[in-house]
Amino acid sequence: MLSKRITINPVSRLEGHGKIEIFLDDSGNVDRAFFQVPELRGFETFCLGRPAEEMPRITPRICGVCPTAHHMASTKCLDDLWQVEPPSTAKKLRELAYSTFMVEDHFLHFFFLGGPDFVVGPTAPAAERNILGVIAKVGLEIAGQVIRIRRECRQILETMMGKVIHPVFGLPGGVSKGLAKEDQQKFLQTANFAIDFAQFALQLFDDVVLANKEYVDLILNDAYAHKTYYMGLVDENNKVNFYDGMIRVVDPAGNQVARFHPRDYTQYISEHVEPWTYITFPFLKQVGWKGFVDGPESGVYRVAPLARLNAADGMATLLAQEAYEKMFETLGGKPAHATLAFHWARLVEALYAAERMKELLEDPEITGLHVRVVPTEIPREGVGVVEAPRGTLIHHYWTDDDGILTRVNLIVATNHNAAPMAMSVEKAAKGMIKNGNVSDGLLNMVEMAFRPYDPCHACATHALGHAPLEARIYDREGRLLKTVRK
Amino acid sequence: MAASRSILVGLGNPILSDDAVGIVVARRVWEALGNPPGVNCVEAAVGGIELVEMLAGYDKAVVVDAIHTGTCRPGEFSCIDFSAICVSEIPAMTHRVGLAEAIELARRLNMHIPRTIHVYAIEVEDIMTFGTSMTDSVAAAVPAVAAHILSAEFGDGE
Repeated sequence: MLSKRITINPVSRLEGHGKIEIFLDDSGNVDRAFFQVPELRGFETFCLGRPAEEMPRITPRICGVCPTAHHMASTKCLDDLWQVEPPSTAKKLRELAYSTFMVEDHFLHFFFLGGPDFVVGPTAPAAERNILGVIAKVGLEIAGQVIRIRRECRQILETMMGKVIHPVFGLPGGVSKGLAKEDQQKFLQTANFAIDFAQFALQLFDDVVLANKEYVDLILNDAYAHKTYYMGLVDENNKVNFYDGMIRVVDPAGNQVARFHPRDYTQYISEHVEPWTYITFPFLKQVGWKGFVDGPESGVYRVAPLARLNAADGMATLLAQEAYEKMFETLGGKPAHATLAFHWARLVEALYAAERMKELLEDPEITGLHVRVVPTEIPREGVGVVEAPRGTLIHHYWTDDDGILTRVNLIVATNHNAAPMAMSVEKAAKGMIKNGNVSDGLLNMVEMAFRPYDPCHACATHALGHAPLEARIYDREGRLLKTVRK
Repeated sequence: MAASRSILVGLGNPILSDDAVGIVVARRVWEALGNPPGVNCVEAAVGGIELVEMLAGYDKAVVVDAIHTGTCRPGEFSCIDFSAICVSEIPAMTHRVGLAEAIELARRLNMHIPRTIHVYAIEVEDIMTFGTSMTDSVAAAVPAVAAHILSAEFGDGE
């Protein structure tokens, strides 16, 4: 039975922290834990009454980390809204830009952010568990390579999309500009470099992580595993695709349970509401909401790199497919439930994205001149979906006949993963708090549980500083025992 | 890009209420400067690492941004010398890398970042609600903050 402290003081819902509240039972062990992700307010209200065409410019401002994902999902949503099919060259250009973005983002995340857990080691001091620790292990030159590949990718994005951060590229029915032949050749060099570097990164993972039994044991540790459903975009052959395709869902045993057009997402995904947070918790309708639990009876599902690879039958490019097979063989088969393997899956995806860049750049259509079909239909309702680096991103707009927004719904990756993150936090907390004793490593272990998801803590805001990550521990009577802050 | 010595950065999100203040103040300073030689001005709504890459190659950077501490009145501001700031830990999530962490990262990677980095942090009231208007107290502070930056950072042709 839960403490009545669970009915959270409404005031706490308005705070913008990444806050964790842990409630202990009579034995001093964790009864429940809650992870509050701050949510920005009033986005739909802000959008209503605006022309839908503004959304590819507005929505990139929702996230300062992956604005390109919002731009692309929004552009595709406008295609659907105006019922217009872009020409083949335009779709390939969009996918080229998007693949480039995925390469850049995934390398950044692995080397600078998520990867250090492995390369340096999860038990290393926090001050070393970052890019500097990685450099100490692999050398400064590698950091230079990461910066170089990011710079070259961003130059591609700037050339293609006008601006890197807030692109002026996607239009309903196509894109704003084509690709010049001289740029095609230059970009191919970057694509080849990206493929080589992705292979290097995977080899590094092999040499540093997989060769270390302690690391492998950590990845496979049940404390960081959840047997959930998995969701991701797939192509006509059920291979991972970041830009387009059908949404596929597999159960914890890896069996397909759904494969649907993005437009039909409301038939498969519903959102659960909890009184202690504004964020909603999407779940699979056909399975139902059974609480913050995993397993085949629970509608909780996950998105993001590992989820995508679980939901698909493979990768559409040769080298990535080899890496995909090796990963699952090491992890004991498909689907893999180890949350920490998200970092590994990220590298497999980086390789796929790099190979896809090359494929598209070698396609003679990529320099075609027909890059847009002007819409002629009356707009009503549209859905656009892409795979953002951190998971499935859904944009859904409703308009009047003039294309003025009457309603907006967005489901971002952090939404999809909200329930799994809460579960991961609770599981980690249960491992760290025994008989009333709170370990000093609590926040580090808890953060390690949700770091692979790279949740968006209101990153649309650029104000200095960050609200601290804070964990509050309460006894059975709801009395605050301890606050741990980071 | 490296031709100019100084860069003025208005940092923020123009559709997130008070988070626009950095951009608004920077625009005001830039208008008063009248496009002087050796100074560039940019508006940025980017995360930490992207911002640092923007600063690379300059000798001096003046960054204007919102801050939400709750310890002073909205509209009040302070100047933080980031030239000497150091952080003890760089987060392992892209969404938690702020300006200080990114500068530290760039420094340790031997990137050429400005010797002088002054960050003007303006206390704000609301950065969680989407909107194109700032709150009254923050909006009212813009002229004074801009005037101070103009004088303190560019007063002698710096």
